Amino acid sequence: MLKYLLRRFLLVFVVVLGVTVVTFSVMHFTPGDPAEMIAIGRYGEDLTQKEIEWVRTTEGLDAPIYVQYGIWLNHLLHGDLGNSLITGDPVLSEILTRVPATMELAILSMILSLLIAIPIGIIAAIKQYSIIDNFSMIGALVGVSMPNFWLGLLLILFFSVYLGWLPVCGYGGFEHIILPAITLGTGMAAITTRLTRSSMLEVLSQDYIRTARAKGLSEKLVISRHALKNAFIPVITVIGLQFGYLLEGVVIVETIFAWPGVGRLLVDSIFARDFFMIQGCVLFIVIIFAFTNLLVDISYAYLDPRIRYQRRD
Amino acid sequence: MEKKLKNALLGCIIVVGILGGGMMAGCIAPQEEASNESPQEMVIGIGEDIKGLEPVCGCPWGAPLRPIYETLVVEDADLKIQPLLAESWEVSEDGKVWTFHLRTGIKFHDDTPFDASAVKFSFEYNPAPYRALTRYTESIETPDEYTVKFVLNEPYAPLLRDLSMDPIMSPTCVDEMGEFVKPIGTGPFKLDEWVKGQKIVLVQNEKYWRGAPKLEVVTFKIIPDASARAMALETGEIDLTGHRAGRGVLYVSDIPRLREEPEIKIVEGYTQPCVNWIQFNTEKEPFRDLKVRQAVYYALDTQKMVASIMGETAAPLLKGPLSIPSTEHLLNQNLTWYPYNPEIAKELLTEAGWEDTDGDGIRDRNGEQLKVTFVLSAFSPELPKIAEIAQAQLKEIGMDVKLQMVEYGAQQMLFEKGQYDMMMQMGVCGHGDPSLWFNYFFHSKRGVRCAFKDNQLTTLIDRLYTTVDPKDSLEVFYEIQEIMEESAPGTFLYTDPNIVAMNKRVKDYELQGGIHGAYLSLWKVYIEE
Repeated sequence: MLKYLLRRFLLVFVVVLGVTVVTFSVMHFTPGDPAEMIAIGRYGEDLTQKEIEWVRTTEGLDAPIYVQYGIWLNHLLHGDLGNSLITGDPVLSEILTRVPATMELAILSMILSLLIAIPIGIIAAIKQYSIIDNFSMIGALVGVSMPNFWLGLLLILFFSVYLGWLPVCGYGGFEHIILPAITLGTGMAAITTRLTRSSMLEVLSQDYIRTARAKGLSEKLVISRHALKNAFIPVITVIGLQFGYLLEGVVIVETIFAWPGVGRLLVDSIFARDFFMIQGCVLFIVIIFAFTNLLVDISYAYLDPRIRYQRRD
Repeated sequence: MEKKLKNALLGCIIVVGILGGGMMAGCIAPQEEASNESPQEMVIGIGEDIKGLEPVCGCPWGAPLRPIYETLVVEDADLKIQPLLAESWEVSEDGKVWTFHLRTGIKFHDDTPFDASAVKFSFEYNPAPYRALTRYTESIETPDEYTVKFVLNEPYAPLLRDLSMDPIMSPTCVDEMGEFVKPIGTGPFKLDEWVKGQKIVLVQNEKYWRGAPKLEVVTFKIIPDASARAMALETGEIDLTGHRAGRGVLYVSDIPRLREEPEIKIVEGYTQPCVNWIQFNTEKEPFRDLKVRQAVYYALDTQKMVASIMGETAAPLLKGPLSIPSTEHLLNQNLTWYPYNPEIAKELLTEAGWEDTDGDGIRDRNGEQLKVTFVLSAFSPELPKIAEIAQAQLKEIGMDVKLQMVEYGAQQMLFEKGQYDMMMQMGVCGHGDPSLWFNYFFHSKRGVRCAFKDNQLTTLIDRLYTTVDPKDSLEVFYEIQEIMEESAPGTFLYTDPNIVAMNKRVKDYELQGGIHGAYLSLWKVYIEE
């Protein structure tokens, strides 16, 4: 188990490093002069070429890309993510102040999606082809297909503008988190519902369920004691993976709902070509994603001994 | 194993519960301020956070700082320069020495007296590119406590306009090491709190020299999405939004709805002479040929195009870049420009040698088809629609236009490499003097985006910069327009006004000129009970 963990951990490190190389080069190969973009972000459009060159030299943008990356990596290894090219503030502290907001939103959306998805998925499987099943599957299809930004605006229109129950956007009390969490949570719930249902169906057709029924256990016991636990193994994996989806979703949802999290910081930095800030945000998201995956893998092995033994070889 | 599974699940539930509970508790706590509703509190929706508290000018995002820092002069609603911290001024005969007499008895928020040394400090602390003016400044002199002299290298006509964007800061803004520590100005409001990415809260300066402002608190709330901002206005969560500053622009599609809302009023004006235009690449075929450029100009029904996409919210530029209300006094009325006429357009193309010889609807010349690339970036949702109409109208005269939508940075790169035939251009309209715009796009040496290299035009723009007397500069403006009409470096489409939408309870609001004109009247604004 330890060897397995170690190998996985090393892999995470390689992935994170690889992603930083990719984002760094993608950002630098994006069309447009970075020095000019940064200068516009700082000082507005009315610039002279001399001033743009000044930005280029002072920010070290005139060095070759691999040198810039080397410098950045060296700082990173010393725990320094650099300073924002636009505001001059340290990237790390800026990201850390944004993390709680993103985490609140991500966790609440996750809880919400599970609260919706798991009961519906189970009921849909037990009552396969019933009205409930059909409705929930249509609902899931709609949920999967509906883009976040559209759903978000529709929710605002309905709950805030027409009904006046909830604030349009912003960060603050619990009422502020409801709409963004619903927006994010329902999209995820749709996927989890479908998976719970199919996983449940598969388990219900297994021999041991038939045995359980045959020995006279009540349907309730069969479902809760025998079916559910086994059906959950793939569901838990997907929930872990969905954390990645969640981090992708926050980028859009945070922008619509004016939620001051990492996702919006990333969007703002991309517009301003704030390379170090983009790099920091991406690094943060990648690390979270990679570690959730690692965690899922570990829990998977933990939940299902067969997997543990196979990989141990 | 089953037990372990059970424990794991239980653990999960407990963790989730704790997190959820803690989170809710954490969220509910900071909410009590909203319940205690203070009447003289105003919330303004902006799309973009400020980037710092230092008083830098010319950048749209700096607008929320303008109630803190004031300027020597200011543009009023008619884009006329009015005194603010400077009471009066005079300029030397050669236009190189500008003397400003400062208002006396004004104090900064921390009781530091406002005087000539503070003005000098402000300009020397943040030189170019923060303050365009310092590019032309040789020295700033302070002959006495309340007199400031700007000595320039060369006459610089837009100086007063530039000063209307140059905020004055207190020397106590910085510590002994010269590092900026806190924002202190002379303005009607003081900074209370800046929560990055969320809000900027200002509180009234009771000792403001024009009298204490009626508003006690002004909060700038950052809402990046324009639709969400419009809805927040409808629900009353914010009291005012709009204007270009701080990416505050509302979607054109939201404006008609807001106009109909009984609780909302709209204040609008052409307070920034921003020109949206299609620029031709005159360095290569087919637009090297003047006739082809003129043909495109004739072929576009600008009035109809703008009306159908922008509705009532924009003015078509039927007589060149200066044909908007705020620069009408500079408009050369003798020029006809290119009124919509597809027949003349077709003739011009034929004269230029472009004819449809193979009958496929696209003109050709020496076996080469008349195909052009039109590059634009989706700065606003309206631009692609405008481009599509242009594409359809040019098809009518036998020109095949390929639209290429790119990101802003990519557009600039294509510009630099000359890899385009037509390009959508916009922006550069910090204040009411269009000289800046001419300089940016048409000065062959100084212009960062010189779109059309022409020696005569460059000389004229130089004259514009050095002619201080408005009567003399009017002639130069006339001449520039003549050259623009003759050479047709692009087709000028429209200018959109600054639109500010607000709750009807907001009283005495005035939209002033310039990039920060949205928030200059806050000192007298109040909320009706």
